Amino acid sequence: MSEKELQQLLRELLPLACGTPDAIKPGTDLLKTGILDSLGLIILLDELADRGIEIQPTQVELSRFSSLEGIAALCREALEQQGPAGQ
Amino acid sequence: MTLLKQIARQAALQGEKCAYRSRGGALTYTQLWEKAAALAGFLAGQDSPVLVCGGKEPLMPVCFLACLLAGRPFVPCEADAPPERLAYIREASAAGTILAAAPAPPALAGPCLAEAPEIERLCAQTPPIRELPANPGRDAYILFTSGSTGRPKGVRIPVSALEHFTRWFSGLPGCRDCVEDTTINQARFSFDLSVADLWPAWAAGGTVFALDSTQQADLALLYAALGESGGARLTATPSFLRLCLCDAAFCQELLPRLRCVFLCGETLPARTARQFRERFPGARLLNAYGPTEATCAVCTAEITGEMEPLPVGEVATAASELLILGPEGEPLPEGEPGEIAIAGPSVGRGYIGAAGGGFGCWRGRALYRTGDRGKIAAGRLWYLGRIDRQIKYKGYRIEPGEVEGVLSTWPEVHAAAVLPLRRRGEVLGLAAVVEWAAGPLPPEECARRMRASLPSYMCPRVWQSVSPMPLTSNGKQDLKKLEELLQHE
Repeated sequence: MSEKELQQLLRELLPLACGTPDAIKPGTDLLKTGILDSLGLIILLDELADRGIEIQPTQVELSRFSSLEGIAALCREALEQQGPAGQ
Repeated sequence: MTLLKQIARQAALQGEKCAYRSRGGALTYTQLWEKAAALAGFLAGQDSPVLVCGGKEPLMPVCFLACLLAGRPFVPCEADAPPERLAYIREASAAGTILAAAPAPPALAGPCLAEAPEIERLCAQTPPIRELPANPGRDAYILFTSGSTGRPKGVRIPVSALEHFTRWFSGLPGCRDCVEDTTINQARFSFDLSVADLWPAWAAGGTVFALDSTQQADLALLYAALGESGGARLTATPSFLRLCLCDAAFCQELLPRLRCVFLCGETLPARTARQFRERFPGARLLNAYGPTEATCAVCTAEITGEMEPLPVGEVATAASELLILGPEGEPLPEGEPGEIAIAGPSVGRGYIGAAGGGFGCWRGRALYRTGDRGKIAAGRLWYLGRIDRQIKYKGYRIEPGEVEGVLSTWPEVHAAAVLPLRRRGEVLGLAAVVEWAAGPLPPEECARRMRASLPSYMCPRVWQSVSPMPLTSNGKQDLKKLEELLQHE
Protein backbone atom coordinates (compact mmCIF):
# COMPACT_ATOMS: atom_id res chain seq x y z
CA MET A 1 0.00 0.00 0.00
CA SER A 2 1.51 3.33 -1.03
CA GLU A 3 1.63 6.32 1.31
CA LYS A 4 -0.98 8.04 -0.84
CA GLU A 5 -3.31 5.03 -0.71
CA LEU A 6 -2.93 4.80 3.06
CA GLN A 7 -3.73 8.50 3.53
CA GLN A 8 -6.74 8.14 1.24
CA LEU A 9 -7.95 5.07 3.17
CA LEU A 10 -7.73 6.89 6.51
CA ARG A 11 -9.50 9.94 5.10
CA GLU A 12 -12.37 7.60 4.25
CA LEU A 13 -12.31 5.49 7.43
CA LEU A 14 -11.92 8.16 10.11
CA PRO A 15 -15.16 10.08 9.36
CA LEU A 16 -16.92 6.72 9.07
CA ALA A 17 -15.61 5.45 12.42
CA CYS A 18 -16.11 8.77 14.24
CA GLY A 19 -19.45 9.64 12.68
CA THR A 20 -18.32 13.15 11.77
CA PRO A 21 -16.32 14.78 8.96
CA ASP A 22 -14.55 16.81 11.68
CA ALA A 23 -12.35 13.72 12.14
CA ILE A 24 -10.18 14.77 9.18
CA LYS A 25 -10.10 18.51 9.81
CA PRO A 26 -6.41 19.52 9.85
CA GLY A 27 -4.98 20.05 13.32
CA THR A 28 -7.81 18.23 15.15
CA ASP A 29 -6.75 16.25 18.21
CA LEU A 30 -9.01 13.21 17.82
CA LEU A 31 -8.63 12.07 21.43
CA LYS A 32 -8.78 15.40 23.30
CA THR A 33 -11.89 16.47 21.38
CA GLY A 34 -13.51 13.10 22.01
CA ILE A 35 -14.13 12.72 18.28
CA LEU A 36 -12.45 9.31 18.36
CA ASP A 37 -14.05 7.62 21.37
CA SER A 38 -13.83 3.96 22.39
CA LEU A 39 -16.54 2.85 19.95
CA GLY A 40 -14.91 4.85 17.12
CA LEU A 41 -11.56 3.25 17.92
CA ILE A 42 -13.05 -0.26 17.79
CA ILE A 43 -14.69 0.46 14.43
CA LEU A 44 -11.48 1.92 13.05
CA LEU A 45 -9.45 -1.12 14.20
CA ASP A 46 -12.06 -3.50 12.72
CA GLU A 47 -12.04 -1.69 9.38
CA LEU A 48 -8.24 -1.68 9.27
CA ALA A 49 -8.12 -5.39 10.20
CA ASP A 50 -10.50 -6.10 7.29
CA ARG A 51 -7.86 -4.52 5.04
CA GLY A 52 -5.01 -6.58 6.48
CA ILE A 53 -3.70 -3.95 8.91
CA GLU A 54 -3.70 -5.37 12.44
CA ILE A 55 -2.86 -2.91 15.21
CA GLN A 56 -2.82 -4.22 18.80
CA PRO A 57 -3.82 -1.17 20.85
CA THR A 58 -2.13 -2.35 24.04
CA GLN A 59 1.20 -2.58 22.20
CA VAL A 60 1.28 1.10 21.24
CA GLU A 61 0.92 4.51 22.95
CA LEU A 62 -2.73 5.57 22.88
CA SER A 63 -1.67 9.17 22.12
CA ARG A 64 -0.59 8.03 18.65
CA PHE A 65 -4.28 7.74 17.72
CA SER A 66 -4.76 11.49 18.22
CA SER A 67 -4.12 12.45 14.56
CA LEU A 68 -4.47 11.03 11.08
CA GLU A 69 -0.68 11.22 10.69
CA GLY A 70 -0.13 9.28 13.92
CA ILE A 71 -2.57 6.56 12.86
CA ALA A 72 -0.93 6.40 9.41
CA ALA A 73 2.43 5.79 11.09
CA LEU A 74 0.91 3.00 13.20
CA CYS A 75 -0.52 1.42 10.06
CA ARG A 76 2.85 1.53 8.33
CA GLU A 77 4.54 -0.12 11.31
CA ALA A 78 1.86 -2.81 11.44
CA LEU A 79 2.24 -3.51 7.72
CA GLU A 80 6.04 -3.70 8.03
CA GLN A 81 5.77 -6.11 10.98
CA GLN A 82 3.29 -8.31 9.18
CA GLY A 83 5.58 -8.50 6.16
CA PRO A 84 4.53 -8.83 2.51
CA ALA A 85 1.77 -11.35 3.34
CA GLY A 86 -0.03 -8.71 5.38
CA GLN A 87 -0.10 -6.34 2.46
CA MET B 1 -37.17 -19.68 49.25
CA THR B 2 -37.07 -15.88 49.05
CA LEU B 3 -34.01 -14.14 47.68
CA LEU B 4 -33.15 -12.63 51.06
CA LYS B 5 -33.38 -16.04 52.76
CA GLN B 6 -31.08 -17.47 50.09
CA ILE B 7 -28.54 -14.71 50.66
CA ALA B 8 -28.83 -15.14 54.44
CA ARG B 9 -28.13 -18.85 54.01
CA GLN B 10 -25.12 -18.15 51.79
CA ALA B 11 -23.83 -15.62 54.33
CA ALA B 12 -23.95 -18.36 56.98
CA LEU B 13 -22.48 -21.05 54.73
CA GLN B 14 -19.79 -19.07 52.91
CA GLY B 15 -18.59 -16.93 55.84
CA GLU B 16 -15.12 -15.78 54.81
CA LYS B 17 -15.60 -16.36 51.08
CA CYS B 18 -15.41 -13.18 49.02
CA ALA B 19 -18.85 -11.85 48.05
CA TYR B 20 -17.75 -8.70 46.25
CA ARG B 21 -14.46 -7.24 45.07
CA SER B 22 -13.53 -4.06 43.24
CA ARG B 23 -10.51 -1.73 43.24
CA GLY B 24 -12.15 -0.05 46.24
CA GLY B 25 -11.81 -3.18 48.40
CA ALA B 26 -13.43 -6.52 49.11
CA LEU B 27 -16.25 -7.90 51.25
CA THR B 28 -16.63 -11.38 52.65
CA TYR B 29 -20.11 -12.88 52.91
CA THR B 30 -20.05 -12.28 56.67
CA GLN B 31 -19.11 -8.62 56.19
CA LEU B 32 -21.69 -8.09 53.45
CA TRP B 33 -24.48 -9.53 55.57
CA GLU B 34 -23.52 -7.97 58.89
CA LYS B 35 -23.02 -4.50 57.43
CA ALA B 36 -26.22 -4.66 55.39
CA ALA B 37 -28.28 -5.97 58.32
CA ALA B 38 -27.02 -3.14 60.56
CA LEU B 39 -27.60 -0.48 57.91
CA ALA B 40 -31.08 -1.94 57.38
CA GLY B 41 -31.68 -1.43 61.11
CA PHE B 42 -31.08 2.27 60.50
CA LEU B 43 -33.20 2.39 57.31
CA ALA B 44 -36.19 0.44 58.65
CA GLY B 45 -39.27 2.23 59.88
CA GLN B 46 -39.78 4.34 56.75
CA ASP B 47 -40.88 3.17 53.35
CA SER B 48 -39.69 5.98 51.07
CA PRO B 49 -37.08 5.11 48.41
CA VAL B 50 -33.36 5.35 49.22
CA LEU B 51 -31.12 7.05 46.69
CA VAL B 52 -27.82 5.13 46.57
CA CYS B 53 -25.04 7.08 44.90
CA GLY B 54 -21.56 5.98 43.91
CA GLY B 55 -19.52 3.83 41.56
CA LYS B 56 -18.18 0.35 42.33
CA GLU B 57 -17.17 0.94 45.98
CA PRO B 58 -17.90 -2.12 48.19
CA LEU B 59 -20.34 0.04 50.17
CA MET B 60 -22.64 0.19 47.12
CA PRO B 61 -23.76 -3.46 47.23
CA VAL B 62 -24.00 -3.20 51.04
CA CYS B 63 -26.46 -0.31 50.58
CA PHE B 64 -28.52 -2.22 47.98
CA LEU B 65 -28.82 -5.28 50.21
CA ALA B 66 -29.61 -3.09 53.24
CA CYS B 67 -32.48 -1.44 51.33
CA LEU B 68 -33.92 -4.84 50.37
CA LEU B 69 -33.63 -5.96 54.00
CA ALA B 70 -35.32 -2.79 55.24
CA GLY B 71 -38.14 -3.12 52.70
CA ARG B 72 -37.28 0.18 51.00
CA PRO B 73 -36.67 0.50 47.25
CA PHE B 74 -33.19 1.61 46.22
CA VAL B 75 -32.58 4.14 43.45
CA PRO B 76 -29.05 3.63 42.10
CA CYS B 77 -27.31 6.62 40.57
CA GLU B 78 -23.78 7.67 39.67
CA ALA B 79 -21.84 10.28 41.64
CA ASP B 80 -20.59 11.73 38.34
CA ALA B 81 -24.09 12.10 36.87
CA PRO B 82 -24.98 15.65 35.75
CA PRO B 83 -26.13 17.76 38.73
CA GLU B 84 -29.48 18.68 37.14
CA ARG B 85 -30.26 15.04 36.50
CA LEU B 86 -29.34 14.01 40.04
CA ALA B 87 -31.52 16.79 41.45
CA TYR B 88 -34.41 15.67 39.27
CA ILE B 89 -34.05 11.97 40.23
CA ARG B 90 -33.90 12.93 43.90
CA GLU B 91 -37.10 14.95 43.61
CA ALA B 92 -39.01 12.60 41.30
CA SER B 93 -38.24 9.50 43.37
CA ALA B 94 -39.18 11.32 46.61
CA ALA B 95 -36.17 9.64 48.24
CA GLY B 96 -36.31 9.99 52.03
CA THR B 97 -32.69 8.93 52.56
CA ILE B 98 -29.56 9.37 50.46
CA LEU B 99 -26.61 7.01 50.92
CA ALA B 100 -23.44 8.12 49.14
CA ALA B 101 -20.63 5.57 48.90
CA ALA B 102 -18.54 8.11 46.95
CA PRO B 103 -18.20 11.80 47.94
CA ALA B 104 -21.67 13.24 47.31
CA PRO B 105 -22.10 15.97 44.71
CA PRO B 106 -23.73 19.23 45.95
CA ALA B 107 -27.03 18.28 44.26
CA LEU B 108 -27.50 15.61 46.96
CA ALA B 109 -26.58 17.73 49.99
CA GLY B 110 -29.09 18.00 52.82
CA PRO B 111 -30.12 16.52 56.17
CA CYS B 112 -31.12 13.11 54.76
CA LEU B 113 -27.66 12.48 53.25
CA ALA B 114 -25.24 9.97 54.77
CA GLU B 115 -21.77 9.77 53.20
CA ALA B 116 -19.30 6.87 53.40
CA PRO B 117 -17.84 7.53 56.90
CA GLU B 118 -21.34 7.92 58.34
CA ILE B 119 -22.57 4.77 56.54
CA GLU B 120 -19.58 2.84 57.91
CA ARG B 121 -20.39 4.12 61.41
CA LEU B 122 -24.02 3.02 61.00
CA CYS B 123 -22.88 -0.40 59.75
CA ALA B 124 -20.68 -0.81 62.82
CA GLN B 125 -22.98 0.58 65.50
CA THR B 126 -26.64 0.05 64.62
CA PRO B 127 -28.42 -3.04 65.99
CA PRO B 128 -29.14 -5.31 63.00
CA ILE B 129 -32.61 -5.74 61.58
CA ARG B 130 -34.32 -8.81 63.11
CA GLU B 131 -37.06 -9.76 60.71
CA LEU B 132 -36.91 -10.13 56.96
CA PRO B 133 -39.62 -8.08 55.24
CA ALA B 134 -42.61 -9.84 53.72
CA ASN B 135 -44.73 -8.49 50.83
CA PRO B 136 -42.95 -9.48 47.61
CA GLY B 137 -45.12 -6.92 45.80
CA ARG B 138 -43.14 -4.02 47.29
CA ASP B 139 -40.66 -2.20 45.04
CA ALA B 140 -37.13 -3.62 45.10
CA TYR B 141 -35.57 -0.84 43.06
CA ILE B 142 -36.42 2.14 40.89
CA LEU B 143 -34.28 2.67 37.86
CA PHE B 144 -34.28 5.90 35.87
CA THR B 145 -34.17 5.54 32.12
CA SER B 146 -34.42 8.06 29.29
CA GLY B 147 -37.90 9.55 28.81
CA SER B 148 -39.36 10.74 25.51
CA THR B 149 -41.16 13.66 27.15
CA GLY B 150 -37.94 15.42 28.10
CA ARG B 151 -37.30 13.96 31.56
CA PRO B 152 -35.91 10.61 32.73
CA LYS B 153 -38.56 8.22 34.01
CA GLY B 154 -38.30 5.91 37.02
CA VAL B 155 -39.15 2.25 36.36
CA ARG B 156 -40.51 0.39 39.42
CA ILE B 157 -39.39 -3.23 39.76
CA PRO B 158 -40.99 -5.28 42.56
CA VAL B 159 -39.15 -7.84 44.68
CA SER B 160 -41.24 -10.60 43.06
CA ALA B 161 -39.88 -9.68 39.60
CA LEU B 162 -36.30 -9.51 40.91
CA GLU B 163 -36.72 -12.94 42.51
CA HIS B 164 -38.27 -14.35 39.35
CA PHE B 165 -35.37 -12.98 37.28
CA THR B 166 -32.78 -14.41 39.69
CA ARG B 167 -34.33 -17.88 39.57
CA TRP B 168 -34.65 -17.80 35.77
CA PHE B 169 -31.11 -16.54 35.22
CA SER B 170 -29.56 -19.01 37.65
CA GLY B 171 -31.18 -21.91 35.79
CA LEU B 172 -30.04 -20.92 32.30
CA PRO B 173 -27.77 -23.42 30.58
CA GLY B 174 -24.35 -21.83 30.72
CA CYS B 175 -25.12 -19.72 33.79
CA ARG B 176 -26.22 -22.68 35.91
CA ASP B 177 -22.71 -24.16 35.95
CA CYS B 178 -20.96 -21.00 37.08
CA VAL B 179 -23.23 -18.92 39.35
CA GLU B 180 -21.29 -20.20 42.38
CA ASP B 181 -18.03 -19.10 40.79
CA THR B 182 -16.73 -15.57 40.09
CA THR B 183 -18.79 -13.28 37.89
CA ILE B 184 -17.22 -10.23 36.24
CA ASN B 185 -19.40 -7.14 36.44
CA GLN B 186 -19.05 -4.44 33.78
CA ALA B 187 -22.34 -2.51 33.99
CA ARG B 188 -22.71 0.53 36.22
CA PHE B 189 -25.21 -0.02 39.00
CA SER B 190 -27.50 2.61 37.50
CA PHE B 191 -27.80 0.30 34.47
CA ASP B 192 -30.02 -2.71 35.17
CA LEU B 193 -27.69 -5.17 33.42
CA SER B 194 -25.88 -5.16 36.80
CA VAL B 195 -28.94 -6.92 38.29
CA ALA B 196 -27.71 -10.06 36.49
CA ASP B 197 -24.41 -9.84 38.39
CA LEU B 198 -25.23 -9.17 42.03
CA TRP B 199 -28.36 -11.15 42.87
CA PRO B 200 -27.79 -14.48 41.07
CA ALA B 201 -24.21 -14.52 42.39
CA TRP B 202 -25.22 -13.92 46.01
CA ALA B 203 -28.18 -16.28 45.88
CA ALA B 204 -25.71 -19.03 44.90
CA GLY B 205 -22.73 -18.06 47.06
CA GLY B 206 -20.65 -16.71 44.18
CA THR B 207 -18.21 -13.79 44.01
CA VAL B 208 -18.82 -10.55 42.12
CA PHE B 209 -15.67 -8.98 40.63
CA ALA B 210 -16.59 -5.42 39.60
CA LEU B 211 -14.74 -3.34 37.00
CA ASP B 212 -14.85 0.44 37.57
CA SER B 213 -14.98 3.13 34.89
CA THR B 214 -11.23 3.89 35.09
CA GLN B 215 -10.39 0.24 34.42
CA GLN B 216 -12.84 0.14 31.52
CA ALA B 217 -11.36 3.27 29.90
CA ASP B 218 -7.78 1.92 29.73
CA LEU B 219 -7.17 -1.35 27.92
CA ALA B 220 -3.94 -2.12 29.79
CA LEU B 221 -5.69 -1.70 33.17
CA LEU B 222 -8.71 -3.61 31.89
CA TYR B 223 -6.75 -6.67 30.76
CA ALA B 224 -4.71 -6.64 33.98
CA ALA B 225 -7.94 -6.62 36.02
CA LEU B 226 -9.54 -9.35 33.90
CA GLY B 227 -6.39 -11.43 34.27
CA GLU B 228 -6.56 -11.35 38.07
CA SER B 229 -10.35 -11.73 38.27
CA GLY B 230 -10.47 -15.52 38.00
CA GLY B 231 -13.84 -14.87 36.32
CA ALA B 232 -15.98 -17.79 35.13
CA ARG B 233 -18.83 -15.60 33.86
CA LEU B 234 -18.91 -12.16 32.27
CA THR B 235 -22.06 -10.06 31.98
CA ALA B 236 -21.62 -7.23 29.51
CA THR B 237 -22.98 -5.16 26.67
CA PRO B 238 -21.92 -6.27 23.19
CA SER B 239 -20.00 -2.95 22.89
CA PHE B 240 -17.91 -3.88 25.91
CA LEU B 241 -17.15 -7.36 24.58
CA ARG B 242 -16.15 -5.73 21.30
CA LEU B 243 -13.83 -3.35 23.15
CA CYS B 244 -12.23 -6.31 24.97
CA LEU B 245 -11.78 -8.17 21.68
CA CYS B 246 -9.99 -5.29 19.92
CA ASP B 247 -6.63 -6.57 21.17
CA ALA B 248 -5.37 -10.14 20.79
CA ALA B 249 -4.49 -10.07 24.52
CA PHE B 250 -8.15 -10.84 25.29
CA CYS B 251 -8.20 -14.60 24.91
CA GLN B 252 -8.68 -17.86 26.85
CA GLU B 253 -5.14 -17.60 28.32
CA LEU B 254 -6.08 -14.29 29.96
CA LEU B 255 -9.31 -15.76 31.39
CA PRO B 256 -8.69 -19.51 31.59
CA ARG B 257 -11.78 -20.12 33.76
CA LEU B 258 -14.24 -18.13 31.62
CA ARG B 259 -17.14 -20.43 30.69
CA CYS B 260 -20.04 -18.11 29.94
CA VAL B 261 -20.64 -14.62 28.58
CA PHE B 262 -24.11 -13.14 28.99
CA LEU B 263 -24.72 -10.21 26.64
CA CYS B 264 -27.68 -7.83 26.75
CA GLY B 265 -28.59 -4.22 26.11
CA GLU B 266 -28.07 -3.80 22.37
CA THR B 267 -27.62 -5.64 19.09
CA LEU B 268 -24.77 -8.16 19.05
CA PRO B 269 -22.80 -7.85 15.80
CA ALA B 270 -22.16 -11.24 14.14
CA ARG B 271 -18.48 -10.33 13.82
CA THR B 272 -18.16 -9.89 17.60
CA ALA B 273 -19.82 -13.26 18.20
CA ARG B 274 -17.50 -14.96 15.70
CA GLN B 275 -14.35 -13.35 17.14
CA PHE B 276 -15.37 -14.33 20.66
CA ARG B 277 -15.97 -17.94 19.72
CA GLU B 278 -12.59 -18.12 17.97
CA ARG B 279 -10.76 -16.71 21.00
CA PHE B 280 -12.76 -18.62 23.63
CA PRO B 281 -13.61 -21.98 22.12
CA GLY B 282 -14.46 -23.39 25.57
CA ALA B 283 -16.99 -20.72 26.58
CA ARG B 284 -20.70 -20.33 25.89
CA LEU B 285 -22.10 -17.12 24.42
CA LEU B 286 -25.62 -16.08 25.44
CA ASN B 287 -27.33 -13.26 23.56
CA ALA B 288 -30.17 -11.90 25.68
CA TYR B 289 -33.04 -9.49 25.29
CA GLY B 290 -35.16 -7.49 27.69
CA PRO B 291 -36.11 -3.93 28.62
CA THR B 292 -35.54 -2.34 32.04
CA GLU B 293 -39.34 -2.42 32.47
CA ALA B 294 -39.26 -6.24 32.49
CA THR B 295 -36.32 -6.72 34.89
CA CYS B 296 -33.05 -6.81 32.97
CA ALA B 297 -33.66 -9.66 30.52
CA VAL B 298 -36.47 -12.05 29.64
CA CYS B 299 -35.00 -14.38 27.05
CA THR B 300 -31.70 -15.60 25.74
CA ALA B 301 -30.33 -17.54 22.80
CA GLU B 302 -27.05 -19.43 22.80
CA ILE B 303 -24.98 -18.36 19.80
CA THR B 304 -23.33 -21.44 18.37
CA GLY B 305 -22.79 -21.76 14.64
CA GLU B 306 -22.97 -19.32 11.81
CA MET B 307 -26.39 -17.75 12.17
CA GLU B 308 -27.19 -14.29 10.86
CA PRO B 309 -28.90 -12.17 11.88
CA LEU B 310 -28.40 -13.35 15.43
CA PRO B 311 -31.51 -14.28 17.44
CA VAL B 312 -32.02 -12.56 20.81
CA GLY B 313 -33.90 -15.32 22.58
CA GLU B 314 -35.60 -18.69 22.71
CA VAL B 315 -39.35 -18.52 23.26
CA ALA B 316 -39.59 -21.81 25.17
CA THR B 317 -37.09 -20.83 27.88
CA ALA B 318 -38.18 -17.17 28.24
CA ALA B 319 -38.74 -15.79 31.76
CA SER B 320 -42.16 -14.47 30.71
CA GLU B 321 -44.40 -14.94 27.70
CA LEU B 322 -43.14 -13.27 24.51
CA LEU B 323 -45.76 -11.85 22.16
CA ILE B 324 -45.66 -10.09 18.83
CA LEU B 325 -48.50 -7.59 18.61
CA GLY B 326 -50.08 -5.74 15.69
CA PRO B 327 -50.99 -2.04 15.67
CA GLU B 328 -54.29 -2.68 17.49
CA GLY B 329 -52.60 -4.82 20.16
CA GLU B 330 -53.70 -8.07 18.52
CA PRO B 331 -51.29 -11.04 18.64
CA LEU B 332 -49.72 -11.75 15.25
CA PRO B 333 -49.04 -15.20 13.80
CA GLU B 334 -45.54 -16.70 13.83
CA GLY B 335 -43.11 -15.11 11.41
CA GLU B 336 -44.95 -11.81 11.10
CA PRO B 337 -43.09 -8.74 12.34
CA GLY B 338 -44.76 -6.53 14.94
CA GLU B 339 -44.20 -4.98 18.35
CA ILE B 340 -42.48 -7.17 20.94
CA ALA B 341 -44.52 -7.41 24.15
CA ILE B 342 -43.82 -9.27 27.39
CA ALA B 343 -46.48 -10.73 29.67
CA GLY B 344 -45.88 -12.29 33.07
CA PRO B 345 -43.94 -12.06 36.33
CA SER B 346 -40.95 -10.20 34.80
CA VAL B 347 -43.00 -7.08 34.13
CA GLY B 348 -42.48 -4.15 36.52
CA ARG B 349 -45.05 -1.97 38.26
CA GLY B 350 -44.98 1.01 35.88
CA TYR B 351 -43.28 4.38 36.13
CA ILE B 352 -43.26 6.58 39.21
CA GLY B 353 -45.69 9.43 39.05
CA ALA B 354 -46.37 8.95 35.35
CA ALA B 355 -49.02 7.50 33.10
CA GLY B 356 -48.98 3.87 31.98
CA GLY B 357 -46.56 4.15 29.03
CA GLY B 358 -46.26 0.67 27.54
CA PHE B 359 -47.63 -1.04 30.67
CA GLY B 360 -50.96 -2.85 30.55
CA CYS B 361 -52.66 -6.16 31.15
CA TRP B 362 -52.83 -9.37 29.12
CA ARG B 363 -55.16 -12.21 30.12
CA GLY B 364 -54.89 -11.26 33.77
CA ARG B 365 -51.13 -10.85 33.75
CA ALA B 366 -48.97 -7.75 33.68
CA LEU B 367 -48.01 -6.73 30.13
CA TYR B 368 -45.32 -4.44 28.80
CA ARG B 369 -45.27 -3.29 25.17
CA THR B 370 -41.63 -2.59 24.46
CA GLY B 371 -41.77 -0.32 21.42
CA ASP B 372 -39.25 -2.72 19.83
CA ARG B 373 -40.05 -4.37 16.51
CA GLY B 374 -39.44 -8.07 16.28
CA LYS B 375 -40.59 -11.40 15.01
CA ILE B 376 -40.84 -14.91 16.34
CA ALA B 377 -39.92 -17.75 14.01
CA ALA B 378 -38.83 -21.35 14.64
CA GLY B 379 -39.12 -20.79 18.39
CA ARG B 380 -36.73 -17.85 18.40
CA LEU B 381 -37.10 -14.11 18.79
CA TRP B 382 -35.42 -11.62 16.45
CA TYR B 383 -35.06 -7.91 17.13
CA LEU B 384 -35.78 -5.72 14.12
CA GLY B 385 -35.34 -2.14 15.39
CA ARG B 386 -37.61 0.42 17.02
CA ILE B 387 -41.17 1.46 16.33
CA ASP B 388 -40.50 4.97 17.66
CA ARG B 389 -37.42 7.22 17.67
CA GLN B 390 -35.65 5.62 20.64
CA ILE B 391 -31.92 5.13 20.06
CA LYS B 392 -29.59 2.49 21.49
CA TYR B 393 -26.03 3.74 21.86
CA LYS B 394 -23.31 1.75 23.66
CA GLY B 395 -26.06 -0.21 25.42
CA TYR B 396 -27.76 2.95 26.71
CA ARG B 397 -31.32 3.80 25.83
CA ILE B 398 -31.77 7.34 24.60
CA GLU B 399 -35.02 9.13 23.82
CA PRO B 400 -34.15 11.98 21.41
CA GLY B 401 -37.10 13.83 22.96
CA GLU B 402 -35.24 14.07 26.27
CA VAL B 403 -32.21 15.74 24.63
CA GLU B 404 -34.52 17.98 22.56
CA GLY B 405 -36.30 18.88 25.80
CA VAL B 406 -33.02 20.23 27.22
CA LEU B 407 -32.29 22.17 24.02
CA SER B 408 -35.76 23.72 24.04
CA THR B 409 -34.96 25.44 27.35
CA TRP B 410 -32.07 27.39 25.79
CA PRO B 411 -33.22 30.91 24.76
CA GLU B 412 -30.82 30.85 21.78
CA VAL B 413 -32.58 27.82 20.24
CA HIS B 414 -35.56 28.39 17.99
CA ALA B 415 -36.10 24.72 17.07
CA ALA B 416 -34.00 21.58 17.52
CA ALA B 417 -34.02 17.93 16.48
CA VAL B 418 -31.74 15.19 17.78
CA LEU B 419 -30.83 12.30 15.50
CA PRO B 420 -28.49 9.32 15.58
CA LEU B 421 -25.21 9.42 13.70
CA ARG B 422 -25.09 6.12 11.86
CA ARG B 423 -22.59 4.00 10.03
CA ARG B 424 -24.08 1.00 8.25
CA GLY B 425 -27.00 1.04 10.65
CA GLU B 426 -24.80 1.22 13.75
CA VAL B 427 -25.24 4.25 16.04
CA LEU B 428 -22.03 6.21 16.61
CA GLY B 429 -23.51 8.98 18.73
CA LEU B 430 -25.98 11.84 18.47
CA ALA B 431 -26.23 14.89 16.24
CA ALA B 432 -28.21 18.01 17.15
CA VAL B 433 -29.70 19.91 14.24
CA VAL B 434 -30.56 23.41 15.45
CA GLU B 435 -32.36 26.38 14.04
CA TRP B 436 -30.83 29.20 16.07
CA ALA B 437 -32.83 32.28 17.09
CA ALA B 438 -29.84 34.45 16.14
CA GLY B 439 -26.31 33.13 15.45
CA PRO B 440 -25.16 29.64 16.53
CA LEU B 441 -23.54 29.15 19.94
CA PRO B 442 -19.92 27.88 19.81
CA PRO B 443 -19.83 24.04 20.01
CA GLU B 444 -17.76 24.22 23.24
CA GLU B 445 -20.52 26.24 24.93
CA CYS B 446 -23.15 23.76 23.68
CA ALA B 447 -21.10 20.87 25.07
CA ARG B 448 -20.60 22.61 28.45
CA ARG B 449 -24.33 23.25 28.87
CA MET B 450 -25.25 19.73 27.77
CA ARG B 451 -22.90 18.15 30.31
CA ALA B 452 -24.65 20.03 33.13
CA SER B 453 -27.96 18.41 32.18
CA LEU B 454 -27.29 15.03 30.58
CA PRO B 455 -24.91 12.08 30.93
CA SER B 456 -22.06 12.08 28.42
CA TYR B 457 -23.59 9.36 26.22
CA MET B 458 -26.63 11.63 25.66
CA CYS B 459 -24.62 14.73 24.68
CA PRO B 460 -24.62 15.38 20.91
CA ARG B 461 -21.21 15.00 19.27
CA VAL B 462 -22.12 16.90 16.13
CA TRP B 463 -23.87 20.30 15.96
CA GLN B 464 -25.47 21.23 12.66
CA SER B 465 -27.23 24.55 11.97
CA VAL B 466 -30.29 24.77 9.71
CA SER B 467 -32.46 27.69 8.69
CA PRO B 468 -35.32 27.14 8.60
CA MET B 469 -36.00 23.74 10.21
CA PRO B 470 -37.41 21.51 7.44
CA LEU B 471 -41.01 20.51 8.13
CA THR B 472 -43.32 17.86 6.70
CA SER B 473 -46.66 18.77 5.10
CA ASN B 474 -48.39 18.39 8.46
CA GLY B 475 -45.99 20.76 10.18
CA LYS B 476 -43.77 18.24 12.01
CA GLN B 477 -39.99 18.21 11.82
CA ASP B 478 -38.97 16.33 8.69
CA LEU B 479 -36.68 13.76 10.31
CA LYS B 480 -36.03 11.92 7.06
CA LYS B 481 -34.77 15.10 5.42
CA LEU B 482 -32.64 15.87 8.48
CA GLU B 483 -31.06 12.39 8.40
CA GLU B 484 -30.22 12.92 4.74
CA LEU B 485 -28.74 16.31 5.55
CA LEU B 486 -26.46 14.72 8.17
CA GLN B 487 -25.39 11.93 5.85
CA HIS B 488 -24.37 14.39 3.16
CA GLU B 489 -22.36 16.60 5.46
